[in-house]
This record gives sequence, structure tokens and C-alpha cells, in this order.
Amino acid sequence: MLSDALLLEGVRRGDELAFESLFHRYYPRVYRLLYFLVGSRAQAEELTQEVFIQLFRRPLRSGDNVGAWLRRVATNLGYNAMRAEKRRTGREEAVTAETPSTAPSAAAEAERRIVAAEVSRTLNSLNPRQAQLLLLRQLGLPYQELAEVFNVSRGSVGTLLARAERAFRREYKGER
Amino acid sequence: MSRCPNKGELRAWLDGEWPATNRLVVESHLESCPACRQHMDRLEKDRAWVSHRMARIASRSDAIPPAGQALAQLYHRIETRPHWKERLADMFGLTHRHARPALAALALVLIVTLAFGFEPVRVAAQDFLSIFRVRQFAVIPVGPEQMEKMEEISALLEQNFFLGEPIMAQESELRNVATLQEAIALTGFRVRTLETVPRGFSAQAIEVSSEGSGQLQVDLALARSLFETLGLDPALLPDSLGKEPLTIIIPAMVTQSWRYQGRIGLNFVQGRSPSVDYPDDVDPVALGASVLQLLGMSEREAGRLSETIDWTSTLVLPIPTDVASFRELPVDGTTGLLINAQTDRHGSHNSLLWQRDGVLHFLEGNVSMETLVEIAGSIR
Repeated sequence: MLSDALLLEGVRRGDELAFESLFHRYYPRVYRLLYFLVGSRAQAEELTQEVFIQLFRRPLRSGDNVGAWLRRVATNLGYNAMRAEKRRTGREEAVTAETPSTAPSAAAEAERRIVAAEVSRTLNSLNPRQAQLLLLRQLGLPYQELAEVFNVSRGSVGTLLARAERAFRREYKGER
Repeated sequence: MSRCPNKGELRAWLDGEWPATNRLVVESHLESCPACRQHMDRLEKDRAWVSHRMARIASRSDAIPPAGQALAQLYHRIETRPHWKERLADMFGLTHRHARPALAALALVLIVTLAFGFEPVRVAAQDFLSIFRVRQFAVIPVGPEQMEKMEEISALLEQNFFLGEPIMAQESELRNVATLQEAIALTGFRVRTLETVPRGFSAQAIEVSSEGSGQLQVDLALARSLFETLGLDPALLPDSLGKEPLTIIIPAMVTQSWRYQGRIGLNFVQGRSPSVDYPDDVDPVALGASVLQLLGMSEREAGRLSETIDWTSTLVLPIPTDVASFRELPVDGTTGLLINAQTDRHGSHNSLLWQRDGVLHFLEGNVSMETLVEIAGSIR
């Protein structure tokens, strides 16, 4: 399997096969991240394309970390879309619509929606980087990848997470 | 472990993100240090508390759609929206499907240009409002690193400058028409066409997007804190900027396209300049100089260049020097800007921009520079 560096070199030269190899390699990760952020299949697909169009249009240098770059671009796009969507409809509705129904009781469902709405509001009121960090950590990204996405050292991730969690608790208006 | 681990280290340890060889050291330290145990308890509670709530919105996944199909769609989008056209379309508000363009045009005016790639900047002083309209172009060559920085700044701006999305009083709408006369009737300006296109090119479509208008509110507190983060003076954003929403007009535009060997080979876009009204106590020269500094110019250099730009009517184009080159040349009785980009998927890609009689013209295609200039010469 060709390395990312070699493939990036190919992309810079306009080699479509190299671009396609990178696409296949990273498409599932980028899509998963975006679906997680926006919660809609159609929007996640569109944003995933947007991410790769950026890669196509502005090829990175061969030494660049393409995985981290893609995650960073996807996070920015997804987070913006998420905020826009929240403003329009309230995120909890969109989530409910696509969550497989396991027939929860009406009361439990109502409670879940209240919490989801407050979580959304809280994330929206945090500094964007903190909100993104919490979301990506919830998605299960390891510290090394978080460090690459946010352009910080791996050693700082713990501190940033602790701060973000504190801020989240402070901002959350529901039960403590 | 002699010293106490800091909060970040404890948090990493909780997540198992501490090197395995040192885990035991931390564990034994925790056993003997009540203060650290207390910290750790609190961190653990925070983590569980937050994660429990986040799970309500974020415990979802989805089957990954087939990559092959996604790739085909992606190529289709790339082919139907070529690079330079897309950037300009963003600027002119052609991609009205999303609210981005209005936002982008505005931000540019405010932050001055560079952050969003191609944006207008500033203003003719009037009594209370200033209006920006494009009358001329200025090019600022930027290297790949600065370009990358601009992308980052642009993302930050999108998140941290405005309250919500623009509220559109009138949405811009796209429609295809059959003749230039129809386009003129719809847009109200003299739409011109190209008499000579190279052999093999066939006229494809005339697309008109109608005028749109909307308002957008600056989130002043957030915008100022962003400026501080970027090392800019927050006072460059006066109080008046946050008081009233800004008004933006996305002008009517006409795009004529020609196909070559099955794909769009040539696009000709015409439209009046987008305009933005904003408070006249914004100092565009100082704001412009700050952004130029962000792009890596020295304070003196940025100040000098900013003074020479008429920010009321100049569209500042940052051109990435690693993938594109540019030069000025005479076209249509005025001075145009020719941009040659080497990274397009189909090899060399050329664009020509000029302004005449209050109408911006943008011609682009996968043809040589000489051919493009010749085509532009046949405008009627």
C-alpha cells in the first residue's frame, strides 16, 4: 500500500488515481465524523464531499498529515453546520427523527429530548474549540488525533479536556 | 513519582492515555497523595457527568454509504463547478443555496478581504453609512503557508463573527433562460456575450440568478475576542458595528457557459458588484493593514500598502503563488486581470476579470491564456 506522502505527491501532480486512493482510505472516517456531528445522512454526505473537494483543490504537501488535516476540515464544516442546524430547528428534533426507535416510554422520550436540547444549548454557548473537543472525544478520538486536529501537543489534550468539561458543567442549566 | 501530576496529566491518566510504563508510578503516587486523589475524583466525576449527557445527542452512527458512488458525485461537482468559478461564485453570491456567500461577502468587507479568499472591502463615506462596491482589483501574492493560515482564519471568522445566519429579505433565485434578451429583462443591465469561441465549443446555457438581499448581525463581543486571539486590535471594530444589522445586496448575475468534449469548457459571468452597507466609523485602512499583517507583512509594509489601496472600491484578491500566477493586461477598453492556475484537474486553467460600466466580468476556462484573451476580445 502506498504511503500518504506518496499519494499526496501524486495529487499535487494531478494524478487522479492517487486522489482516489486517498479518498477510499479516508472516506469512512470523514463520513463517520460528519454524521456524528450533523446527524443527517444527506448532510453528512454533502459535507464529506466538500471536505474532499478542498483536498482536491488545494493539494497538501507530501510531508503533511493528511488524516489530521481532513479531520480538522471536517470538524470545522460539521461544527458550523451543526450550529446552523441548531439555530434553525433545534438539534434534538433532527436527532430524534433518525434515531432508530426502540419504543421508549413517552415519558423517557420526553426526558431524553429535554436533556438533548439542553446539551445542544450548552455546547452552543461554549467556546467553539471546547465544544468541538468534547464532541470529538465523545466520538472516541484518541489524544494523539485530538492533538493533531486542534494543533496542540498531545500533552495538552488532558488539560483542555478537563477545562472543557468544567465549562460544560458550569454552563449546563438542567439538573446537576 | 516525586512531583504531583498536573490536572491535564491526571485527566489523561483517567482516559488510559498515559504511557503504560508510567501508569504504575501514578497509581502509587495517588495512593500516597490525598490532594491528587481529590483532584482525580473531581475530574472523574466531571468526565462521567459530561459523557452521560453528551451521549444523549451523540450516541449515533450510520452505515457508511458506498464510497464509489460518493466519488462519482464528487467528480461531478468538481466538473460542474470549476475552481476559480467557485471561488468567485462564492463571492458573488451565486451559491445561494447555502447562506455562505452573503456571510462571506460581508465578513470580507469587515475583516477586509483576505480571510475569505476573494472578498471586497470597504466603503464610500456618506452621512451614516458606508457602501462598498467593486470598481477595481488589487492582487496580493501569498505563499502556501499564508494561504493555509487564511483558511484557518476564515474558519474562525465563520464561527465567531456573526449572530446566526443572514436573514434574507429576498432570496436570490436561479433560473435558465433561452436568450440574452430574457436575461437583460430579468437583471436590468446590459448583458453581453462572446461572438467568437474556439472550434468545438458549443453554447450550453444561460443561467440568471436574481438579486437577493438580507441582513446580518455582528456578534461584537465574540468578534472582538477573535481579533484579540489573532493579535489584532479589537478597537478596530467600533461599537456601532454591533448595534444595527448590516445590509448586504447580492447582485443579479448572468452565467453563460459553453461545453467542450462533454464537459463545461468555458464560463462567462457578468454581474453588478455586491455591495454592503456598514457604519462609517469602521476604519478600513487600519483594518486592512491589520489583515495584511496577519498575512505575514511587516507592520510598516502592511500600513504602506493599505494606504495605497482604495478600500472603498477595490476587490483584493489573494493569489496563491505556488499554484497560480497573474498579470494585468488590456481588455474590453479597460485593464483586466489574468490569472493562470496550474492545479486544476484538467491542467492549466485561466481566468480573466475586469470591470466596465459598473458590471464585473469574469471569463474562465480550460483554454490557453492567448485563447482566453482572444475570446474576451470578441465581446459584444
